[in-house]
Amino acid sequence: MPKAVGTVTINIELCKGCVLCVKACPTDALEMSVKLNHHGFRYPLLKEERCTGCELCALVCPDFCITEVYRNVPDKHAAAKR
Amino acid sequence: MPISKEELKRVWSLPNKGSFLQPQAVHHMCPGCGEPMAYRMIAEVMDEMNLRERTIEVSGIGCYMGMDPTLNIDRINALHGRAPSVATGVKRMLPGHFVMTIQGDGDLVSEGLSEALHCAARGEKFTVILLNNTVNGETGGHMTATTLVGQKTKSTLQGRDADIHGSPIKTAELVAQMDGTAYAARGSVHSPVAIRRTKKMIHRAFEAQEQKLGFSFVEIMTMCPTGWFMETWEAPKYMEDVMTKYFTLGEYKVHPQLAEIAVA
Amino acid sequence: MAKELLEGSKALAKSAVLAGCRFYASYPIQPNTNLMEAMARELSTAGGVSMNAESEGEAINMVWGAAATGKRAMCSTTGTGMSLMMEAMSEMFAARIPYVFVHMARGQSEYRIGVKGGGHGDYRYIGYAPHTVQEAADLVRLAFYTADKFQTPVLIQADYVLTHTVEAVEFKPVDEKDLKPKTWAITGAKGRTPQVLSFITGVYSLGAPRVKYGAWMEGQMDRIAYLENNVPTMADTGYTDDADLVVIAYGYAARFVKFAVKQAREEGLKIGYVRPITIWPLPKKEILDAANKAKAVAVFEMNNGQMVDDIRLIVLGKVPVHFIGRISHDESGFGVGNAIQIPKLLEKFREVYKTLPAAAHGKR
Repeated sequence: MPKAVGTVTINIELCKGCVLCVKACPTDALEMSVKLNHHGFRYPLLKEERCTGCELCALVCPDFCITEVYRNVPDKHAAAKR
Repeated sequence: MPISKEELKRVWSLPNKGSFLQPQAVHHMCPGCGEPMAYRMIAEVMDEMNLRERTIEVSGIGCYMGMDPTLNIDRINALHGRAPSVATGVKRMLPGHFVMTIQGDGDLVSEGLSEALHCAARGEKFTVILLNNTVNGETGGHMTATTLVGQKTKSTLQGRDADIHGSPIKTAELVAQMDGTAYAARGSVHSPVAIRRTKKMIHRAFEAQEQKLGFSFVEIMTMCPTGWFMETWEAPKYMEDVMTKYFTLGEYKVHPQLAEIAVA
Repeated sequence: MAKELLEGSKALAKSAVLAGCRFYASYPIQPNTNLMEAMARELSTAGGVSMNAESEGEAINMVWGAAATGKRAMCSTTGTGMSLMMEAMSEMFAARIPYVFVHMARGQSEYRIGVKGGGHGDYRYIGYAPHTVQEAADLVRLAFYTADKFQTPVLIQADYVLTHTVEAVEFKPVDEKDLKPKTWAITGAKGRTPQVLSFITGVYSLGAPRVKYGAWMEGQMDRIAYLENNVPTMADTGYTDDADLVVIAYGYAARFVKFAVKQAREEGLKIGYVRPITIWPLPKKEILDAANKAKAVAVFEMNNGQMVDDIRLIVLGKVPVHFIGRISHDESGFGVGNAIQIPKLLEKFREVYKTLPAAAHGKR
């Protein structure tokens, strides 16, 4: 069964560094940056190769930073696009 | 090899019209606050049920007043604890409108418990959303009627002592006892599963109003890492391990007609 | 409209419903319950909502909600109930919510808190004080118009005597052509930007620049000055052209004072009266005119001295201002005590009259 792959769009300037998205991610695809955004908070960076587009980070973010979730929806009868 | 977005399907995007108003959604709640998740779910359910244009919200007083502008609807700010009474006046005069209150635990369970229970007893056909973080966030994190025994707050720095300050009140259970209540439930926002389940509760509560079945009520447990003297990532765990053992999640009263309605 | 024989509370209720009031909430307390019962009957036939709330605090906040939707709404209570409602009453002034508040008083000890001195903050309620059933019906009708015109709460100072007095009353409409539509009302954001009725900054549209809290609160001063200068005051005066002593009273107390003044005139005492019909803003012109022609003013009210302070401020030392009222109840506790008996009133008039300069004394 082909693995789902995905990515998210993160608005890093809204982030308040609460880390809930990092904790929610089931594949450890998010880690906090070293740099700070204009608020002075660290923000999440996506390790895209780990993202499955599961939406859990978007669900738990209190500052609505995750603005889009993309997922490759595998077609059961065709090979996964790469 | 990195995947470009063009090759993927966008399965979700943050709403930017309808009930969820951006850029006002940029708010000043603390990092890790649970209330914004509740607001977003309310906005999503309102749009799914197409309620926005005939909704009037009556808001209580608390941190969440800063979240108010996120909901793109008509609103009346009420005094601390008084939102259910104001909502009564609104719904009685505009029965075809969708009326809801959003209140915190300090507002509803401390200051305005009798009003809320009276509205439930009267079966007022509006929805009350209780955002329960067991502290008075806006005043700086003080004890409310829902603070757990042993919980440290700004006014109970040694931990709430049952001998001196009594024990917390379980509002959803109280509301469920009233004959006028059509739906009473308690949800939470500490995990994706909890968030999804709570969204269903909100949907059912709104349906109860639309079907004119009676008073509907959803108590939503929200994290307050600031008020709980915790790190932002510790708060959801505290919610799951400690708080929801006392404030148990689930539906406490479901009107028989409501149970038949399919919820998305 | 033909005249009907009605008791005060029924006339108040009928007039309110004729004025378009469709929401009423109250809590049982005598003599307020007479109005509550009458409103329940009137509104059930008129298709409105009459709530017997579980507490005073809930009742006034229900009226807040109903009035916020732009409908005409009314609240009422007695004395101690008004204390319970003070928080909402104060903030409804700040929020500029137009509604009518009927105080069914026992005695007159709530003069001050009704219009300005009970709750928190610098609030002012326009106050109307009827003394007959006809006047009560007229003033209720006027109150709903005035509340909408100035977008501010209006208080009717009624009382136990009025409640239980049966008189002929004719219900007359008020010209409301100059009232503007209530665009500020919270009715659901259909076809317009959503708006919020805030009690700390008034109504604002979502997304529009919002007035700052400090500026809004300072603006209340201008608003109070505007109301004071623009709300038409009303007074009923008698025998003031040649009066050496002017008696000032309002409401049911004034009814007895008017009769006593007539009797005093027959005795040869040169006494007149000024009866404020608006107890806020007070009819300063009529009071000052009468005081300027007289040698002294005496204020009669059934309390420990409340309106007398305001009269003293208006008269400002031109002539002495005496207080001849008192807290006076019989065993019922409803404010119909000894002090309003005509012989007692005349005694008080004579007492003060004796203190006037000799040149003032007329035929004895």
